[in-house]
Amino acid sequence: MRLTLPLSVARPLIFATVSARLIMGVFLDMPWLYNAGWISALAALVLCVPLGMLADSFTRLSGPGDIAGALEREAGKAPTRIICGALCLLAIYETAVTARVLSNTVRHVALSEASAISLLLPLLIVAMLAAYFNGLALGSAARIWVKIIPFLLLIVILLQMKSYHAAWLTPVLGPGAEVLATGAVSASGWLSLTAMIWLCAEKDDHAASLRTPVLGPVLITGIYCALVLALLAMMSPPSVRTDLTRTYQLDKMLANGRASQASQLPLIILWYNSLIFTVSTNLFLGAKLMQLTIPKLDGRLAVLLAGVAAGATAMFGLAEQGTTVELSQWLFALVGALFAVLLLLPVLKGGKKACARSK
Amino acid sequence: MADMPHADLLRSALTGVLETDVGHLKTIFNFPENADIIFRPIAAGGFSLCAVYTEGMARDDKIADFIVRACQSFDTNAQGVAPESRAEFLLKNAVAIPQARPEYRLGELVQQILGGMTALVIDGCKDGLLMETRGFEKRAVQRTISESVVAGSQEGFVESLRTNITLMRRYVQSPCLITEMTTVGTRVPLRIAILYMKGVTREDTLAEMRRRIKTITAAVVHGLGQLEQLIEDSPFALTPQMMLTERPDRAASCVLDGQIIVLADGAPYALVAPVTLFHLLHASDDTFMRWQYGSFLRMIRMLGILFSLILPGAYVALTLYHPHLIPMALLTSIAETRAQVPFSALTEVLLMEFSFYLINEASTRIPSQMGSVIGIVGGLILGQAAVSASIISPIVIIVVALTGLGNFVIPDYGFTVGTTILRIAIVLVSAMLGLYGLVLSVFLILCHLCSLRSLGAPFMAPVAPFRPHNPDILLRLPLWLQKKLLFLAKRRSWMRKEDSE
Repeated sequence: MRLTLPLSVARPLIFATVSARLIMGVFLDMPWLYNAGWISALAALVLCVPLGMLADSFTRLSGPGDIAGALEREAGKAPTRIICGALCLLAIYETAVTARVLSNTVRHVALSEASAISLLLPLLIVAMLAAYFNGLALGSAARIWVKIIPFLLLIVILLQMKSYHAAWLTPVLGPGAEVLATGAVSASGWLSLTAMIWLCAEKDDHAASLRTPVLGPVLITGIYCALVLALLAMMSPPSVRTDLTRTYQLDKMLANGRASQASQLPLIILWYNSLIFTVSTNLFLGAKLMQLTIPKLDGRLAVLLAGVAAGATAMFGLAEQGTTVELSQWLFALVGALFAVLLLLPVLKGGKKACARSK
Repeated sequence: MADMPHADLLRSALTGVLETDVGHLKTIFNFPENADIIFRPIAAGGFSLCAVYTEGMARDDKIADFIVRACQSFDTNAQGVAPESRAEFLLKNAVAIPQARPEYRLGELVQQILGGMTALVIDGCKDGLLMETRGFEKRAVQRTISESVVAGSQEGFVESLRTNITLMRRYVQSPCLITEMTTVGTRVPLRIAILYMKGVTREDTLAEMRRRIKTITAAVVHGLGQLEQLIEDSPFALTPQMMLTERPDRAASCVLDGQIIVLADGAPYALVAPVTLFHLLHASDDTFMRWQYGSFLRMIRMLGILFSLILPGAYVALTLYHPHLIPMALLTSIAETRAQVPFSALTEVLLMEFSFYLINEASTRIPSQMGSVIGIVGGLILGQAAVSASIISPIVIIVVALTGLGNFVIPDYGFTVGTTILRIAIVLVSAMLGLYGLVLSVFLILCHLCSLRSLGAPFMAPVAPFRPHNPDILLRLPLWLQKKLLFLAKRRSWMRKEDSE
C-alpha cells in the first residue's frame, strides 16, 4: 500500500493541524508569554513566509508527481531520504506530543482517574485507522472540519462574549521583547511543520489551479492562530504568579472562572477535534515520511510502526512540556536548515532544472 | 464446479433437422415434466415448423394471430425457397410480429423462450426465429412506497424490466439515452439494462461499471440488491455506496447528470452509480419545491440526521462523565427523573433503542392495517408503562424518539440502517470515554466516509475533496444559480448547462 496525499487536500490539512499545534504550543506550553502569545504567532508567521514562498516556487517549477520525488530528482536520492528520515522522527515525536496533550486535556475535563494508556491507546488506534484510510481521506475530512471550525468558534465567542476584555491584552509586549522573540522562534518551529505536509504531498489535477499551495495556508493559519490566541488572552488577566503547567493553562483556556461551565462544551469539541486531527495527520506524515525514506516499506506497516513509536514516546514521558519547549526552540532552525539543504542542493549541483519552468 | 445439465446442448446450434432440434429443446426444457413449455407444430408453405414458448410468459393471442395463423394461412408457394433461407423468407412474408430476428444458438433461444419470447424452429433451416411475444402478468405502475413525496411525480418503478425502461424513456426523451442489455449470473441469468446518456456519462466510469458487471461470477443474482453488493467499492463499509431508487423521475435526473442506471428484471428499483453521500441525503421534492422550501426542509433533514447519529451518544457521554457541561436547570430535571430508575444511562438508552427497533421491525413485517396498532402499543402503552414502572426515564424516551424521527428523515433505507449501527457504536464508545469517545468516533466516521468511493468517484465530493458544484449541497439555492453539470459527468459534455446560458 502506498500512502498518498494530493496537494489539493493538503491545504485544509495544513490549517486544521498546524493551527492546533501552534495554539497548543504557544498557549499551553509557553505560559510565560502571558497574554502576548499572539504577537509571537504573528512574528512566527513573518519568519515562515520565506519558507512558504520557497516551497511554492519549487512546487510551481517541479513537474507533475510527488514533491519528494521531484526533490529526489533535483537534489539526489541520499540527501532527500536522509532529510525525510529526520522529518519522520520529528513527525512521530509531534504525534506523541499532541497525543500527550490530548490525554492531559481529557483527564483534566472528565476522566481524571483514567490511566494514560487507556486514553492514548484508543487515540492512536483511531489515528492509525485514519492514516490507513490514506491522505485523500484525511485531507478531505480536514476540509470538512475547516468548514465547521468557524461556526464552533462563533458559538464559543458568543457564549464567552461577556468575558472578553480587550484591556487584558496589555501590556502589549507582555513579558518583554526578548521573551516574545524566543516564543516567536518556537512558534515558527511549529508553523514550519507545514513543510512536512508539503513534502509528503503530490501534485494532482486539481492542484494545478493553486497559486500558493503552501504560503496561502501558512498565512491563513498564522493569522487565525494570532486571532485565537488574542481571544484567549482576553479571557483572563495576565498574571506573573501563574502556575506554568499545562494543566493550569488548560483550565484557563476551557474555563475562565466567570463563564458558566456549560458554555465549555463547544470549546471542548473544538479542542478535542483539532488535536485528534493533529495527532492523525502527524502519524500519517510519520508513516509517509518513513515510506519516503524506505520506499519498499508497505504503507500499512509504516502506519503501524509510526503508531507504535509515537505511543512509546508518549508513554515514556519524552513528550512532556519541558522537552517539547526545549526542542521547539530548535525546530525552526532544524526544519529551515533541512529545507535549505534540499532546495539549494540543485543549485549547488549546477541547477539544471530548478530555475527553469518545467513544461 | 459441476457443469449445468445439458450444457453441451446449450452451447450447440440448431441442426436444421426439425425432429432433432425440437428433441434437443425438449431435452433442455425437461419436457414433458415441464408442462408449461409449449411445442406447437405448424405446417406452412410446404414445410414444417414448430413454435416453442412458455405458457404465461408469452401472449397466447399474439402467438395464435400473428404466428400460427399467419404461417398457416400464407399461400405463397415456398417450394422454390432454399431450405436454409426459410427463416428469412418467413420473416419477410408470413410472421406478423414487428420485433423478430433469426437466431441459431440453442442457448440464446432457450434463454429468450424463458423470458417470454416465442421461437420458431424450421425444418431444413439452421436458423430459427425469435419473436417478441412477451405478455406476462405484472403489476401496474403505482405510487412509490418508500420514497413518498409531497410534490412531484408519484410514479414508481415496477417489477417488469420492459416497463421500467419505458418509464425511463418517457422521462428522458433523447436519442442519447442508451440502453445496454446484458445478463448477470453464470447459471441462472438475470436480465439487466444499463442506462446512460451518451456523451454525458464519463467513459471511464461506464467502462468500470461494465467491467464490474462482467466479472460477476455468482451462479445466481437475486435482483438489484445483490447486484449492488457484488459491484460496490467497499463491501465492509456501513454506508451504501450506490443508490437504490424506486422513482423514475429521480433515476432520470441522475442519468441526465451523467450517472449510470442499472435496471433488472423483477426489481422495482433502479440502481444509481456513482453517487455521493449527498445523493443519499437529498429527496426528490427538494428540487420540485421552491428553493426556500427545499432549503428549509433540507436543513431540517440534516439536523435530523445529526440528531440521529450523535444525540444518544451525547446524552450518555454528558450524563455519565460531563454533568458539569449540562446547564443546572436541565441537570436537576434529568437527575429528578432518573432518581427512581435502577439502570445506568447506557442501559437505559440501549434498552430503549432496542425496543424502538423492535417496534419498527414489527410494524414493517406485519400487514399495514395493523401497523397503527403496533405504533399505539409500542409507542404509547409500552413507553408510558416503562416510565410509570421507573424502568426508563422520560428524558431517554425524548432522546430516543428524536433519534428515531431523525433516522426516518434519511431518504435512503440502507443508509438509515447503517446510521443506526454507527449510532449504537457511538453510544458504546461514549459510555466508555465520554465526549472524548464521541469526538473520536465521529472523527473516525468522517475519515471513513471520506475514504469511500462510489464506482471510483470520491463519496464525499464535491465538498471533500472539492469539485466545482452547484449550490445544492446543504442548501438548495435558486435554480438560476445552478449552472454547473454534476462533477460526475464528462467534463466537456454536450449537456453542460453553462453553454445554454
